[in-house]
Amino acid sequence: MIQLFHIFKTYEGNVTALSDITLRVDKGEFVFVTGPSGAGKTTLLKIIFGSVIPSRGSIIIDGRNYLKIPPREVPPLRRRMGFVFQDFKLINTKTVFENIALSLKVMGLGPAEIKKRVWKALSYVKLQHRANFKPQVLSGGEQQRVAVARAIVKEPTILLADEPTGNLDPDLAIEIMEIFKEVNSRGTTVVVATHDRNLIKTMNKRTIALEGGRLVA
Amino acid sequence: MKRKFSLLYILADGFRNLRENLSLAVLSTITVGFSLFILAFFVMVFTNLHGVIWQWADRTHMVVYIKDDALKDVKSLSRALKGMEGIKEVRYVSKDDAMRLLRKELEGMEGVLEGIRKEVLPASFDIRVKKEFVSPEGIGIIAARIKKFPWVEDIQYGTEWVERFASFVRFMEVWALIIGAFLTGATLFIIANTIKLAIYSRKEEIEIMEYLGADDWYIKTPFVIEGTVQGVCGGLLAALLVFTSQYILSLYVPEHFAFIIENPFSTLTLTGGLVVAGFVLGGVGSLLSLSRFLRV
Ligand SMILES: Nc1ncnc2c1ncn2[C@@H]1O[C@H](COP(=O)(O)OP(=O)(O)OP(=O)(O)O)[C@@H](O)[C@H]1O
Ligand SMILES: [Mg+2]
Repeated sequence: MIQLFHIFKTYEGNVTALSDITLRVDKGEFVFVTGPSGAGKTTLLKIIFGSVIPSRGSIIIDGRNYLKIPPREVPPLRRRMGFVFQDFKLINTKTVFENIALSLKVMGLGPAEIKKRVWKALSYVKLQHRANFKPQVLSGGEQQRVAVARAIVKEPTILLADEPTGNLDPDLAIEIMEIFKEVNSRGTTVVVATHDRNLIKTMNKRTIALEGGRLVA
Repeated sequence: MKRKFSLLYILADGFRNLRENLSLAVLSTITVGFSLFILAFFVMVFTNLHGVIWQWADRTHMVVYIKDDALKDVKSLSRALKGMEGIKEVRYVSKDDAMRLLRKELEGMEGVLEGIRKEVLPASFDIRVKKEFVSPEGIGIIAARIKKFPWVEDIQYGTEWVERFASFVRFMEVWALIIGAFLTGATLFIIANTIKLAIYSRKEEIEIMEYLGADDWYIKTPFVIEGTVQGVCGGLLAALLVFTSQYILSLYVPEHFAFIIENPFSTLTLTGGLVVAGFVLGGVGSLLSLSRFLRV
């Protein structure tokens, strides 16, 4: 369970990205975060991920005070979270396969297990034929699907996806959402940030709406 | 979940990093190589100069004149001197020897010696002192101790020479220290920055690894391996440069100065030293640069 209490975030240069956000996402829930560009969606996801530290407020994840976790315990927590970054964050010197595999390598899995899981993830996002390519040569949509595969391959307990369908055509977007649904059905908490209203409508899930860093209705 | 990492796996990653960033790796290796080369060359030249200077130090000697009535026991006196701290060599100069020496010194004017019997000349010990005592203070200490023997008639030693020598050595050493410190500092600075640059160019990769939940050591190890490999290669390159420049210089340097560029250490020691230096600098440098990017 993820709980946020009165979270504020002000970036350098006095940019207020989030104001007084209090919300709760239950274990195994599937929620959307929506709002116009600059509303603070990415900031919210990164705060849950722990890569952005809020200026004020507190976060409790699975009963633990998230902001008081000692640095050495951060990696194990991250290994249980999947994040699809809005800007993908793929390593350009590594192939698609290696990028996805890295997510499992850091968990200490053996090569055989890694290979099996990576191919499965690649088949989910329909990119088997691109396994040995470097990310740079892939289309935006393909890179996005690599990012999705890397996030789901580790079967995370929390999956955070930031605009995971931004570069995809509607059909592919729906397919990615189907994958997330399946991951969700196996117990993973899923939080998806998107401004795609149609997608939200077809999915029919709880939606958290942000505007100018505040919660709206 | 049980986590297991094989060392081989991580080593392989380190070497793969090297291959992927080959041009930068080669550049760092060359930088490390040249920095270490300059430092090594300085150390070499200085060690040679230092060695030559200390050969002069061997000229420092004291003469201890022996009272006539103690002469029957010369052997045990000599032994007593040899047992003292700071004394390297004791040579007995008998009355006969003294006469012979005097004759030699006065060659051509032997007339002055007319009527002088060897008995008037005192027998003595000619003493050479160890390096550590070649200073006005050191010589003074030894002389004071020797003076305490009842059989000592007198002691003579050239304070002026020792003083001049000691101050020259001090001057040399201070400058060597200053230049050496400067060169070492420059070497460390260059190497640290080269490594920092290499790591900076992969800042994103490190960030991504952190996001994926890689432990610090997991992120660091390949970089440290890379750093040490580059350091070792740099060390080898430095050794190669030293030997090459030695050879080239030996063609141009006049013979009586040639000692300056001779390798005062064995080939193995010099190469080994440079490789170890490269290894340590590469490893420690990577670790330090990495800690700037990593949390712990
Ligand atoms: N590192 C930063 N430094 C300064 N300002 C930032 C930083 N990151 C985000 N912001 C600002 O915070 C606000 C919220 O940004 P955020 O990225 O969370 O929005 P978003 O809802 O994800 O937008 P989009 O839909 O365009 O991705 C914006 O005004 C943005 O300019
Ligand atoms: Mg965003």
